[in-house]
Amino acid sequence: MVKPTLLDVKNLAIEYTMRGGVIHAIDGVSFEVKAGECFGLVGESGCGKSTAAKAILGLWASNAAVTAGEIIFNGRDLLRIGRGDLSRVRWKEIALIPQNAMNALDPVYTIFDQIYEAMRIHKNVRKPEARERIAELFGLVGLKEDILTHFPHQLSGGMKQRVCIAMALALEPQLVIADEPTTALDVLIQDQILQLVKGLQIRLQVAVLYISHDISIISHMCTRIAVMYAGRIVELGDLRGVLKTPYHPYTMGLLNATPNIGQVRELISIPGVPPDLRVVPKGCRFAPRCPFVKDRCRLEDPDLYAVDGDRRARCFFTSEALTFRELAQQEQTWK
Amino acid sequence: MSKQRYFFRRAVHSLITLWVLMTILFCLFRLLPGDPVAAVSSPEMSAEVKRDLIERFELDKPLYVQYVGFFRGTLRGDLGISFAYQRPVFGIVLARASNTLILIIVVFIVSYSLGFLIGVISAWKRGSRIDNVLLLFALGFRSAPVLWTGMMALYLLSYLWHVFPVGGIRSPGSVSTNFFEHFFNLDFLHHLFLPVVVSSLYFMGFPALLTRSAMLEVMDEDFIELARAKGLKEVAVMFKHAARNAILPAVTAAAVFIGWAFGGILTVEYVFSWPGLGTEMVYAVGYRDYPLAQGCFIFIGLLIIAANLVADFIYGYLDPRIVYQ
Amino acid sequence: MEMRARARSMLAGVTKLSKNRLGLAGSIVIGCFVGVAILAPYLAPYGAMHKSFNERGELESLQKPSARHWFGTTMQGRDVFSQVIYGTRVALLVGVLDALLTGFLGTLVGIAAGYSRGRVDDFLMRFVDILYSIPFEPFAIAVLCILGPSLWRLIAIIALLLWRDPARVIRAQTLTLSQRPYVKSARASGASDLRIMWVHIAPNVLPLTFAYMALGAGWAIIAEASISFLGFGDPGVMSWGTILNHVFVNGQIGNAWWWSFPPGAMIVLLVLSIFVTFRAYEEEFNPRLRRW
Repeated sequence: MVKPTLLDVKNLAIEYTMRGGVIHAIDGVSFEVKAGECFGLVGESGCGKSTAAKAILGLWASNAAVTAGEIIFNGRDLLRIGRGDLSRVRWKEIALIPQNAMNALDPVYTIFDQIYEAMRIHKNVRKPEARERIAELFGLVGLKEDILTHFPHQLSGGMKQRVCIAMALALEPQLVIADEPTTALDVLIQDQILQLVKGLQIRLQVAVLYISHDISIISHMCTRIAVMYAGRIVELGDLRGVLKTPYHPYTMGLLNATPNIGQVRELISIPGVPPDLRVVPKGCRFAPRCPFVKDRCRLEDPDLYAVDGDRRARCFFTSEALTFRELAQQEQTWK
Repeated sequence: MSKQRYFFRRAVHSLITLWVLMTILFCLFRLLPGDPVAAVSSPEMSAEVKRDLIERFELDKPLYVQYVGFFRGTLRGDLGISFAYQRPVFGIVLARASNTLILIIVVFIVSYSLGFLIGVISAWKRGSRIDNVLLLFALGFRSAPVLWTGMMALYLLSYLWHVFPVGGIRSPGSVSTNFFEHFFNLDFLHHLFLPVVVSSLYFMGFPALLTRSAMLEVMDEDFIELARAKGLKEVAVMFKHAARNAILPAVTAAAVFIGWAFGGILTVEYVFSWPGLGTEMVYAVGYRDYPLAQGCFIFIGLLIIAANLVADFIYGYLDPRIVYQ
Repeated sequence: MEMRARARSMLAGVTKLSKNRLGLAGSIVIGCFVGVAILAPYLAPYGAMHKSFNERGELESLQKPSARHWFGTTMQGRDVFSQVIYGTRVALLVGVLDALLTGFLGTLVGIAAGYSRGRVDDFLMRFVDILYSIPFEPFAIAVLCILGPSLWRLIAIIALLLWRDPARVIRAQTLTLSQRPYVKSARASGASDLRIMWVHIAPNVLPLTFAYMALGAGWAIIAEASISFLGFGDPGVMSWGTILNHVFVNGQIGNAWWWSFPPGAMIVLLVLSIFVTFRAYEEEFNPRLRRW
């Protein structure tokens, strides 16, 4: 069954203006999220995944600017609609589960006040009605109603994260952006929250854009993923395909560096660091670190080429992917 | 810590401060060069009166006895007799205190509210022209000593254009029968206007700059972004969430503000001939009327401590983390 | 090593300052005041206390501004312009001395409290807390009345109450800094406390010290003016506040605007320049306040 496209991000580019210069945070980012599916956006810290995701809701820093692209949601370009329209889309159609639950709740308001506020902005709902709905939501995420009168500092990290999840689902949005929701939690709680989110996604048939730097988490959650590097998408496709048969050298390296994916073997890391985005790099952005780099890579900038049905990769030499994959498994390739 | 424990701790702290303040006062006024009797008598008094006073204030006894006597006397309300007025200091000071209190309460409210508002708007529109203008406005008035702005205001608005009275607390000859009439009539407000405006312009710089920094820090917090993500209008994000949090450091700093404001109000009272503790103390010290000067100082200190307690209460009410732990 | 690098970066800061126009204007104004203070005897047409008489031998009392007296004269026939010029010396003296005293004392106590923590810190901070309850003006006039008015005493009293602010803030900063790994490792490798405080902590709180020195200078100038205005200034010194005191006690605030306006205006100009220059400097060095 072909699901309809819910969100279509086209060629998104965002720049930050700082004292030292202009940082080209993301460039040419394009991907689609279909209704009811879980789409993963994975990449190391600083690759721009959070920036791209939050831009969907129109949330970017005051020194940032969107320099190109469209974000089509339900037939409208979210980057070009009026402020009033955007605030109506926020939370009601697209909600956010923030990364740092410790800090995401206002310390001076009770839990009830904050969830009620989210509802009140979009619906004319009275407190008793709201309480019923919250009870329902808390049932879904496994929270007791008595915390409603508490303040955020009285709750544990895991509880706060559950509150955020419940709050995100309050208005039955079509899409939920989960921005690394488990990063700030310890491992046991992480697992619980992951199971929770996955369960909810399937049960409520809500589309989730899941962002993480941890590819193993993504592999448990999502059906389609995009790999980001240095502000761009370098590989895109269905989960199984990308993990089993990666086409981009960076993805291959990423899989090598991740335990428990694929076969049991030594962890190999990618030497070097991502490029400084204050200067637009010439050629492929991964070229300085790529073990398979050729001359063309340093001079020309590859597009996101289609490789196999729905699959895409940003590399000139995807035809040699088979060879690359084998070489990538060996340690000395990466020295 | 529970509500009770918090307030109890603050109350104890206030008492200790009061004790230290009074000790400083004791040392200060007993430190007069020359005759220890000079602290309680003026040179014009006869030897007999002086002897009486020496006995009464135990000036011939060792210092520690005097110290205890000082505290006992003060707690009883016996602050000595004013040389100039030839009346008990306590009565005089009490009357003046209410005048100072009215003035300073209004100044506090106006300057802190204005300052807070300026700080919030300035931070919200950071970097814009409004921000720069507001900052310059606040800084400018903070650089202008209130004594001078008072003088300039008096010159222009009172002497030249006759819009406001030249000083004092009410027009001569006005009569009132009760407290309400005393303070809530137009004449009084007419006299109150200039001192309040001039003081507030000077004092608002402090909460303005403080609130601005606090806002800038809060605006970077994750919950502000989440508030926006919920679809809240920017105004609501700024006031309901950012400002509501920024007010906490602003109130914490109220202790500093209170000490500063009570000192500064002295000059304001003097310039506007406002019959409060400030003016009284300046004249008392000028005339070497030590008992009166001392009494004024004690009362000012008392008011400061009381104001601090109120600020602590307000903070406890505003920050749930203090109380619910 | 670190101190030299710090000094170099601060020098670089001064050159960067020139890019910020308001800060530049402020620095220039301060420079002018310094120049006036140094060259006062050459710039002032009359002595500060010199009484002027006209051709008919009459005292030139309360003259409006004219060619002979740019700012007019006082009730006693003295040239206001000259008085204002000589007042510059007092203002700058007070500003500089109090800035240094405040910076020094505040930093010393702040580092000591923040580094030692425990009982010493507790005691010092309670002391500072109590100091906050002492209002400046009443305290100052009481002490000056008892001990006698003198400029040096006033400067000392101002510093005595001013160092509270930097002490608290520098203490907080020191607390954070002493948790840093390089301090912990220095301690582990046997470095003495004093050495750590001098080499590792002091250079890092220096920006704060300078900030409070600037604020202190501004506030001290206003404080001295207030006390002199109330009549407790040094009788042998002609400060701007003293001039304003004369206006007031002679009942001239409703009349002699040429007498009351200039001294106060000078105060505003000087203090505002200090604050503005400081803010420009702070923006360069405190990244959190930076506007991208």
